[in-house]
Amino acid sequence: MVKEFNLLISAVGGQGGLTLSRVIASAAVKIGLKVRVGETLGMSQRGGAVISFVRMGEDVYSPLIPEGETDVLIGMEPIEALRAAKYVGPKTVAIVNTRPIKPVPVNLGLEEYPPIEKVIELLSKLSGKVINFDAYEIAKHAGSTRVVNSVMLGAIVALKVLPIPRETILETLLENVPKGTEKINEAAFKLGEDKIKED
Amino acid sequence: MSNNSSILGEAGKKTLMMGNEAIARGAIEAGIKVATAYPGTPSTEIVETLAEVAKNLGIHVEWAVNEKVALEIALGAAFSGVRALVAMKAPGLNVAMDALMSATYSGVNGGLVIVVADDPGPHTTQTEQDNRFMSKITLLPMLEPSDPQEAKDIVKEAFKISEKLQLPVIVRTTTRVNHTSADVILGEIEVVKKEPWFYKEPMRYIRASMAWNLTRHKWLNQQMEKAKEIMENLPFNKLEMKGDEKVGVIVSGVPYNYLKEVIKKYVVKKVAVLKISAINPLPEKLIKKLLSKVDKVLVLEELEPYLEFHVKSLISEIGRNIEVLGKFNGITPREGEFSPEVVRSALEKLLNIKLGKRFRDMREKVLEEIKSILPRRAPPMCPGCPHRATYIALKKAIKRLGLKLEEVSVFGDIGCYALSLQPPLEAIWTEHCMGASIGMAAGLYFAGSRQKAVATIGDSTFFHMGIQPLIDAVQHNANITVIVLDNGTIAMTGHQPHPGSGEIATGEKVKPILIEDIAKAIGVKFVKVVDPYDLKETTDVLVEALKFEGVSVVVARRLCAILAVRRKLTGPPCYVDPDTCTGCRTCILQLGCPSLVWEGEKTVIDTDTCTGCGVCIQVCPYNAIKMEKEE
Ligand SMILES: Cc1ncc(C[n+]2csc(CCOP(=O)(O)OP(=O)(O)O)c2C)c(N)n1
Ligand code: SF4
Ligand code: SF4
Repeated sequence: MVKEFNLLISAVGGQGGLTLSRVIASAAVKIGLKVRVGETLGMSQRGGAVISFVRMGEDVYSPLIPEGETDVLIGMEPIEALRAAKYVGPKTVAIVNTRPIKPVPVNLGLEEYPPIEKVIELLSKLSGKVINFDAYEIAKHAGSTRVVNSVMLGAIVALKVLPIPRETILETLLENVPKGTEKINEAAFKLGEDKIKED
Repeated sequence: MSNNSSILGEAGKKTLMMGNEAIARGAIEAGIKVATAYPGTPSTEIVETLAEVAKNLGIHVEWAVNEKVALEIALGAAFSGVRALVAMKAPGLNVAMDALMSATYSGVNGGLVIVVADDPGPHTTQTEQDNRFMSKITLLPMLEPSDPQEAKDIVKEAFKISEKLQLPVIVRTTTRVNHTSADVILGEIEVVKKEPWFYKEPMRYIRASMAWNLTRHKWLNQQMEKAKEIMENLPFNKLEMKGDEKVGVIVSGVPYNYLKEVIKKYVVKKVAVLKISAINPLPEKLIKKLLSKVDKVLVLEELEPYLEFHVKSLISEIGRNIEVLGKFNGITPREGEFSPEVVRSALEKLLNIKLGKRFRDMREKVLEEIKSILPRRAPPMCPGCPHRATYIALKKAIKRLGLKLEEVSVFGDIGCYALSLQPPLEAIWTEHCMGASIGMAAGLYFAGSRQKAVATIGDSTFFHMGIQPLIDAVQHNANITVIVLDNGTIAMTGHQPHPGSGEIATGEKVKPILIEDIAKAIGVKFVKVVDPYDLKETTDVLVEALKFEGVSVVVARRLCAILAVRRKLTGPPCYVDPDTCTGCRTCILQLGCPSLVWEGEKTVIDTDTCTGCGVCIQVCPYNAIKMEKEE
């Protein structure tokens, strides 16, 4: 029986972070887990920072993850992964897409985008394990830059850290993506898995 | 998060639902006939969910023009004996308040439930208004759930209470209930067969007789006496007490989840817990039961010390010496939302022990460093947002008139266009409440200021509360320019239709009501419609409008870029010719479109997100930006 499992998805609005949280939460309900998903919607489609907390297990009540208690962090963008730092701790497995999306103040020259190495270095100081790769390039190979989220999902599944079987996740993913994009999403999911297996 | 089938799922089924969907399901289970709302985060998905199944259920679901109208429609339905639901965000209740106050004297026949979604944080609301106090002003029953399952069940129960007492019932939620998803067990859908009929009863429904008003005030207070009994026995209040505890916690709403989790995780024993869902009237007997045993009590509630006030007065009634931990002694904050950490440290103070390990210094240092290098990511206006173009044109018009930007006050309003507060636009000077821009601009003119006054207001905001101030401005001949940013939708809250959209909540097409027709009918002498993507034309018209003496109205009409993408109305993306781009960065510095990416020496357009609006083409001094040819 799962007592407490905390997954955090940190993304830029429009990257499909909310789809990911829905897929994982629905899959968890399918196998009978108690679920709490905490997110603040409203700006999600507009390129702001979006954090979703997906929590599963008997002892879970709060929609927010206690600081430092994340089991898995899916960082869809480097600095967004870093923005979730206070929730990350020694037990965290973090998986980070290294492809940056520059916020407007950075393009304006008002703020600086930190080097990716620095982002990973800082995250590694807090997180038990950090895995990073360019999921955007992999999504391109799958046929669309819009399926970065499915690549990330495949990678997490390949790490075998989720308390949900692979088949349930994949099936739920395909139920939740727009009609007609199932093939591309499945390909992206599998390329994400391969990425972890080959490393 | 659900689709049609899950919201109408069979009783007993466990379904993943967002709090707002659970509220919608609760209303469906209660057999509602009418549901209305004006959208507002975090309440929007309630009526959005109901609208999707309105036809299946044969019920009326609509986006009303504002919250007051939404409430009045629901009231009219409830007068006739059917059940009705109305939903709004926290400040929406201020707009609806006038209608609500009179409804307390008339009462209702069919159940009327008003869902008000407060926003501790705040995440998306102009203030952290704590609407629990509104129950004291209206004297109405109020309930508060702590999670999605309770939200569904409490809404269903609220309809029964409303009919028992013949009073509207307010269900107050907070963002972390509305937007939390959880596994929810569905209940039976009641089949309510009632022939709606409005019976004439002047004393109830007419507020023109002062004698009647006095009678109804007494009636209201009598009903609220009866409410005490109901609230005392409400199954959603939970007292967990063995009787030998020396300390206790009184908690309501979302913090109850944090508390339960902390208690379980750190195996906390010997703490009595009273969770309260009856906000008005409070279950005083239940509270006294706890207070009669403990010597120290922690009150856990977000925002204002609503419970704490009452707990203190009950303590003085029972005459025991009990220490109260809460807002007044700074144990919990009055601003912002709670977290598991806030609750844990409050509980530590109650128990005088440490719960769990604390983070080491190293961690704090790393977090500090991260904070110092992390760029902000406030939501920008989208690539291709027409509002961006309108504000650029306004700036150009001001400059062309030889004026400085400080010499033209640009009053703002609520909606996506308020994102123009960010660099590089930094356009609006105010963002206050729905529709305020026009009245404020007129006020500046009437004050005799030499500054020019411009009001910029969204289309839905104009319909919500912008028409009356425009009438006022015309009547008193204010010298102001009103720019209505007409993107055909209520964009900020997720693209609901408004009277100008030509569509209603359930998807049927209707004849759009045009803003320019309204302006002309009011008597505005200068009314023009422009396409903001055409910067030159828009600038020319704005120059004319600013020169015009009297009220001028410019409607900047262009579909919201998100909708344009969804409806596949956009062209191919633009691109920067690297040989022509001099690296002057003018495009980025003027527009700040997120698709214009600075790559160190030149601008590059992100073709994944560019909508091909072509506005950057018009600001590039070297013609380096080109539109891809459509194949
Ligand atoms: C009284 C009140 N009701 C609702 C809201 C929520 N709200 C904020 S912006 C907005 C939409 C405004 O739409 P529109 O004027 O068309 O501008 P757009 O977002 O489309 O640019 C709404 C409904 C609010 N802030 N206050
Ligand atoms: S949602 Fe529409 S109106 Fe809002 S910022 Fe995006 S494009 Fe502009
Ligand atoms: S055309 Fe230019 S301004 Fe318009 S979306 Fe593309 S990059 Fe942005």
